Amino acid sequence: MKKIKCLFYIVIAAGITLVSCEKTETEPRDPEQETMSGQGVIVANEGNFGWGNASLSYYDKVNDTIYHDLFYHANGESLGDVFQSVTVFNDLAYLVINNSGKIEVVDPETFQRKGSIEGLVSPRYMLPVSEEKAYVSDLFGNHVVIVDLESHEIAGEIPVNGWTESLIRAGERVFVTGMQSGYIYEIDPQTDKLTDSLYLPPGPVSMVKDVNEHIWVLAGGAPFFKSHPAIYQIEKNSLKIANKHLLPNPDMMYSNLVICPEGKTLYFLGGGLYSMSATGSDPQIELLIPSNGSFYYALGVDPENGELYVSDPIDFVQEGKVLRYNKEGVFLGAIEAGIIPGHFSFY
Amino acid sequence: MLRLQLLLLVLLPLGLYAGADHPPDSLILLEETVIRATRYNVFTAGHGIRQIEDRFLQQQSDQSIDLLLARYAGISIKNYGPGILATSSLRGGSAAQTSLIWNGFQIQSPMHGQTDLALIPAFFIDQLGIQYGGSSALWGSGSMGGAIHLNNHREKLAGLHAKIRFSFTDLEEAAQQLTLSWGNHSVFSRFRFFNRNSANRYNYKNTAVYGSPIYTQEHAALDQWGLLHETYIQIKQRHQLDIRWWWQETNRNIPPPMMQNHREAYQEDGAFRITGQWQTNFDHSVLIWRGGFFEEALLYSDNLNGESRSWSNTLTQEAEVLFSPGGLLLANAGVNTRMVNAWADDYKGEKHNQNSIAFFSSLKWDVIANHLQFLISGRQEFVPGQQIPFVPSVGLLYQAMPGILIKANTGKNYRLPTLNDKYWMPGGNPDLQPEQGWNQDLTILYNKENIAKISEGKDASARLNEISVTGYHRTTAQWIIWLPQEGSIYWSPKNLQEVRSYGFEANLKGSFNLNRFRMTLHARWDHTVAQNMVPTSIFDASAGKQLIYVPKNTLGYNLHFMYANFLMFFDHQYIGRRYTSSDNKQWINPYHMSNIGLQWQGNMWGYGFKITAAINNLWNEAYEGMAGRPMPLRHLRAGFSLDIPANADHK
Repeated sequence: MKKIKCLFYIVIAAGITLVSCEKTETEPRDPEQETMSGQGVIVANEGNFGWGNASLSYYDKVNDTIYHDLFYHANGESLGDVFQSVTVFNDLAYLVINNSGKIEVVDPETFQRKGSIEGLVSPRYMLPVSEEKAYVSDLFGNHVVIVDLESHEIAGEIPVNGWTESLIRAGERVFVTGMQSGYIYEIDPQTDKLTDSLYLPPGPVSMVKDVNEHIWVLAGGAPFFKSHPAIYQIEKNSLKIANKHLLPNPDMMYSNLVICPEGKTLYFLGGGLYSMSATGSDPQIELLIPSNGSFYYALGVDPENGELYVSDPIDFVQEGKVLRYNKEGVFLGAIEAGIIPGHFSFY
Repeated sequence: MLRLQLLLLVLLPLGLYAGADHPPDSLILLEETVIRATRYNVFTAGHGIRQIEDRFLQQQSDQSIDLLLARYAGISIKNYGPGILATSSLRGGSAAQTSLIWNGFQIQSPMHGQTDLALIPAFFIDQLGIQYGGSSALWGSGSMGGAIHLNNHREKLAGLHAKIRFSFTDLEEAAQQLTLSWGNHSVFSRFRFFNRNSANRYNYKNTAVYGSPIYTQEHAALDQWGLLHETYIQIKQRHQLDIRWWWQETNRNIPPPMMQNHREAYQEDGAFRITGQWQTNFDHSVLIWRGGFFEEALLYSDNLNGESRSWSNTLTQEAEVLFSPGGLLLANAGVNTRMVNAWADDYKGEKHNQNSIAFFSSLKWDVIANHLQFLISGRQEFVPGQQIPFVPSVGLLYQAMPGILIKANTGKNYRLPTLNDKYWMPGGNPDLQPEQGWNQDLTILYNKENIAKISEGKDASARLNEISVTGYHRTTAQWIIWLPQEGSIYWSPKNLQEVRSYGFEANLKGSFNLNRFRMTLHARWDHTVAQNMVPTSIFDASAGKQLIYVPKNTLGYNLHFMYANFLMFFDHQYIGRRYTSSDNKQWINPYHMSNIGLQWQGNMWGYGFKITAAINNLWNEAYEGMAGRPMPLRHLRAGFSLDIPANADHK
């Protein structure tokens, strides 16, 4: 009989012990912001859709140290759901939170909130077009949003068909890619009107500007079009195709077109990291870094030294890695990031 | 004589199961010596089974079964809110690795392999049991982590009976239930109808915002109704015919996560299910034919993505013979066919089908009557394009000494890829192969027959009615997971993961009586370690880590205090940390959940009355059903029911 009683008490006691051993608080990391050098990379960690676990990491290049969850530590609350991109402008960082439909405006030194732009539908990327005004592309909104950078309010919309993605300014014009429509659109930032468009199958994804002010457009491939993926060079002063370069694999979807600081070499992702000259008449496309089992998800180029930053979200439900390479493709190191590191801003 | 022998064989396990947390062998309706055979009752020896008592089902009949599974079986449920998209995980398995079996028929969706448990009303269930561990040899594809059994049975009531129940919550919810039944010695028919309307306007703590202010959820309303009709016919002692049909419609707003408040999602779920079973009892065998037709339709829409519609139907038939080859042997053999058709907007509007045929057999051998029972089962299913393994299972029950029962089981299990896995556009992968793995269980059970009373006087007694511990181990290879594909923005499924799970499930039941006062205690503790074994890349830190959303520990107990016509109940549940990242660096905090209630029941003027009032989430705990999905703070529930005429339980 005593044995039975004893067993009863053991079960209950073990349960209580076990429960009390489980911590009920999260363990935020110490940001140690005072040690930051101020020369580094803001990493936008998307987080999982709907889980509200987006986060901001900062890689200090001088001290070779990464700091995590800086928005949370600075403001005491979560950043939001799906941290899509970050743009630094006029000593402010604009954090575009896609599925929360907002842009958090923070001090890029302390990451303390300076304001919020609310009421967006599904914002993707932001491009300041003047001291007072910026354009924001949108996944579902069927428009480019005009935001007032002083009042932090939506100032208007420029109707565009479908999903808009990458934004770039060249001279007095702004261009935006239409992922779904297959066009790039030209906008006059003085009037906020569409002025021209160009169809670029199989759908423009991202754009850069080279040393000669030519725009290069990566038309990456599926999902919306079945044409062979290509990189287009657009004429300098008109929205016309200057050159078209087919990419190696017709079934691959290529993405993340970036350019080196000198504006002479293009880089992009598609089952590896590719490079291509932006200056020659017949540029060769080279596989600079094979992915070797990693998943290359986002790409950035350090404007100071041309180092390449490639993110690997691994299985998309664990903290990802950022891999650093020099411009020749030599591996320099790996940095721990947050869940799904998806965008870089060098600041 | 042979018929008597068969009946004895069926009855024999009762001696072994006495006091065990096992379904009563409903093979027998003793009053008519009628055998109603299901594999759940006859061939589950060796499996760990947790049966939710009828009184809990009746007490919570205005709830969906996800709440009962959490409250009375300690199962961790993932949900988006009360009554909204609820799925379970057994022994670290995915929701699709748990079968939902209604009177012997698998009813989980053939499109995604899961069942939204919030769509299964407790009101429509007479017997709710959880079979832990793989059981593909008995039930086929999907039964890898376990199976949830929903059974209906006829009542012994004669004549016409009616029952009406109303319930309310302070979440602006009102529900009504009606039961009408009529029966005599050979026919029993029962009709159940319910209607539930809820604004589901609940308060929650928004922990994503500084200071964790309290918000009110304004987008979780639901409207639901359903009807279930059963007819049981006994023909000349030898034949039984059971017919059931179940029709249900649900419209729900899907609450947005805490960090997103501009998306308004909405979902409609419709289901129609009809089943029939004809059973003929011969002198030395039982022949059973079962057939079922299930149709489900779903419409999801939100203000950003638009609409997504899907529809499926399943026609299944099964023929089974149960016979005694001689001595202390009982065997069955059967064939099951299944034809599935499905259509979805996201199949690019195309219709896909999947036909299957499966052969199964089991043999139960009472090696030493009332002491040692041995059981072996096997199943082979055939589906075009799929390499499905033969799945065997071996189990035993051993009465080691009076009051101590040992159960053991090992078996191979599998799960076919779902139609969504294969045909979803974009991303579907038609080349997927079944998940497969092995499980081993060992249960040691002390039962009340041989555990003496701790103390006993003339008017007072305390008993430990049951203590059981089940240890288990299971492996799963070719686990299907969806991942983005290199060079694509779309996610696609692959047979990628290998998972190992082990742990234990402990149960304790006790009671205390003092004059007219009675107290009962049910307590449980489940410990689950479920780890991914193989890294997918050199940076993958998930190997050796706990799977996401699988708590290592869940504990709970249910205390009931009864005096005269009053019942007070107190339920407590603890859900341990649930990791939300596969490297186990992020998690949802553990939580404690308590509910307390008071019930009075009695007879007046020949009618039975029952009045219930309860406080849910007594300690006002802020917790999340999934990451970013907050659940209600403290809220109230009340109910009233009327039996016409009064039932025996209203004394």
